[in-house]
Amino acid sequence: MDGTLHTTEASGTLTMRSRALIPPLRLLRPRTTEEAVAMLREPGAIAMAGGVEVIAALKSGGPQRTVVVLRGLPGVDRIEVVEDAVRLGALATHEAVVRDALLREAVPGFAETWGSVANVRIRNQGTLAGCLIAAAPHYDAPPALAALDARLICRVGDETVCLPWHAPRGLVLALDLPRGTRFAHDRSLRPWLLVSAAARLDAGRVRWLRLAAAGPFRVGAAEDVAGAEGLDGPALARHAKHLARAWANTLPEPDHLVPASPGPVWRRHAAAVLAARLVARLADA
Amino acid sequence: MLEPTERITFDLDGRPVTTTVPTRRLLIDLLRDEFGCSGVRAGCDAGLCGACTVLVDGVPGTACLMLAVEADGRRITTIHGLAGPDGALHPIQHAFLEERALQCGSCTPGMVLLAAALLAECPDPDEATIRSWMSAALCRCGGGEAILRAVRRAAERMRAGQ
Repeated sequence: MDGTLHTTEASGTLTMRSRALIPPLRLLRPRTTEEAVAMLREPGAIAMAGGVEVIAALKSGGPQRTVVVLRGLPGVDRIEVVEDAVRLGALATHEAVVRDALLREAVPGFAETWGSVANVRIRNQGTLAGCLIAAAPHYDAPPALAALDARLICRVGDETVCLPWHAPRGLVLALDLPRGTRFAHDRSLRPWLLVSAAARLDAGRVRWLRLAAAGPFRVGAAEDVAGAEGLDGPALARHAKHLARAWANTLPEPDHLVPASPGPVWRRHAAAVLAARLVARLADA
Repeated sequence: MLEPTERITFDLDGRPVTTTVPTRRLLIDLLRDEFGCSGVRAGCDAGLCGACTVLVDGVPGTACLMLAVEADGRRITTIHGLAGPDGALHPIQHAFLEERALQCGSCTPGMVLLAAALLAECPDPDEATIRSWMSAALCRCGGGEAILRAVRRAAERMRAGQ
């Protein structure tokens, strides 16, 4: 049987993956988000947006699955301004995010950065929400959304609620990114380390500067390192290394050791280096 | 238990096709096994290598990560549909041949389709854009620079109306 051997990080065991192992699928196609929520209450039902993560996971085999196909749900792929946020519909593809002019203006740096995530094939199919839900350690969405302090708009039962980026519940309908926030991201050391930075300016001072990192460890809660008084651009540039080092020293230890992954000393040093560059870049902007 | 199936209709390389498929079947297997599209290659089976690249409504897609039923109502273009109805090669195919931009040929269908989609959208792409798009397929034979030259040559010719 054609297939590839895939190491699971948690157990270290080898499992066979192949499209020949995909189990029978019962596909449900909701016409509204309310129908989708009801369908997802079925035991074992899973939601599929672009399908990149779901299909990859199904290749590990298993019993028949019920898949709720979200593609085509009206209005869930829009990118629009809602009050002080840019709302990315959960079905907006990565490529739609990259190309969105409104997003480029409202959250400078984000759309441009997202063009380097994955490749054009995957970006045409995958979604940011799906990337967040998949939560693989080396994915870009978690640290990016942490740095931006993004919020999730979720349908939970009969209610639509706003939740922190790291606590999705029910059906994710959209991601809110705060308008007027500048964003920078470094994925050059992926999969071992990704660093994101986001800054909010007010009257020429950085009032809010958050750094977040991801890799084979839990995403550290993004820290606001600007301080109560804020920082102006030149001060931010001068203090970039100090801020970055202080933040990097707060990075958590990994939950478990990933074979051959770099240790905490390297991680903190590398995070500080990348974060300092990002902070300097935001200061220049 | 009966295997769930669905009837789908889609445009495959310019002709409408209708078939009934198990819902778990992937597009790559439908195209290869039922429609003989051997140019949709099964490489990594993980969406990484780009050998299974097809165009879905004109944009690059990954046939090994798409359910076949997702093709319903859509326009699927494989490498087999790129040449003209009279068999005349697409300028990109000509350029790949002229630049010797293939060795084993495994990546070539994916590379050519990516280039076709790129040049359809952006007739005069800059170098960074070419490299970004073409990085969606991997060549293990070291065809990189020749492939990039082929894309540039095709772009030039297509802009000149050739």
